[in-house]
Amino acid sequence: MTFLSFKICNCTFLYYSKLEENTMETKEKYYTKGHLFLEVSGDVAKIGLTSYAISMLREITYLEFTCGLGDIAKGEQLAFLESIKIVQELVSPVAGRIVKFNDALFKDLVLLNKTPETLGWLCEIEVDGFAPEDYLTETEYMALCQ
Amino acid sequence: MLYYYNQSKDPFFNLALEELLLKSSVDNIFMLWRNQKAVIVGRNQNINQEVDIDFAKHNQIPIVRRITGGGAVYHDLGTINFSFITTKEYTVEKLLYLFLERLCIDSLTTERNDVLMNGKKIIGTAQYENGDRRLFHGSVLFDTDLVILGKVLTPCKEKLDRHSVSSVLSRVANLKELILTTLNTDEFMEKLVNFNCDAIPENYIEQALLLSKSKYETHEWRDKI
Repeated sequence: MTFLSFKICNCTFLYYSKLEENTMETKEKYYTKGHLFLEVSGDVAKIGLTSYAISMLREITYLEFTCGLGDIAKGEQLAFLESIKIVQELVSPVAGRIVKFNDALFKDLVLLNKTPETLGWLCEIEVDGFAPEDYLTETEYMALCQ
Repeated sequence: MLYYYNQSKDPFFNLALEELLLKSSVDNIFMLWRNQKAVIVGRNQNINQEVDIDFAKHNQIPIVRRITGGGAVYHDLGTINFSFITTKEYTVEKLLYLFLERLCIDSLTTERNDVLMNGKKIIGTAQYENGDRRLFHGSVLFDTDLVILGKVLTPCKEKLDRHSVSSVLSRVANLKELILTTLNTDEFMEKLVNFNCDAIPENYIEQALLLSKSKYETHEWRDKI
């Protein structure tokens, strides 16, 4: 693990690794230049903001999903989020069908702010033909963040 | 960078024009503009908590919701607004520096992208990011009616406590008083607009008018929270 330059990222990533060991599921993790992660298991990708993104935004104060369950195109608007003074549009990094939102976020944004890559994930998308080459590996993403 | 001097004073149209330029133009743009008196609330703010709605109605002050985050502000013709609509290659710090350079005033300090002078906030800013592009805009309190501002804005006590001050009024000041200038707002604007302005394309103006009607002037958008 070389996610050492950001303390919050370090903590979160260790926790993530532990979960992975416990569940023994095959998961591949990819990233986008827009600071989203995709945790791919079978044909489902769990989407969320990276710890680095949260550390840059400092604190998310508002989250609004702009679509419901069902089809979504790559690049289609997925959500709005507001941090201190910045409103950002999040777009879907993949094409497919949204099959689940992280309902826990509607009650408590602390999960997103404190554990974005584990408990604070945003949604799950059943992906149409995932192409790993379109995304960054962990090493490539870490290089982008430095 | 293109330089626009938007002479409209209609707050609904002006906010619509910003959004349109962000989403339709590919140019990097700097724009100066002013509004008739209006309260401009942040994208996700609850109007009932931030604005004295009865006072606003009684004084014919429209309430307009912007797309950027942050808190409610009061604008009138003594408030000078600037917008940078650019790619993200321009950092917010760089853009703020460019604007402050244009102001040519010493002893300004920045705090979380707000600008203070003698400990008082004179410029507030906010941002919206859309893919590779960013709207970064702000308001300069030059000769704003601070009495009206103090009456129409009603931020919750918790927010004021966080800033450790007793009221909105005690946090802000007009630049005109701080720099002891005799220039009125029009004259100060003339000084700021010391560039060769580019014309805002007609089709953007037409589309912004439509966006103003279909979004910014609607209760659906204004009262969305």
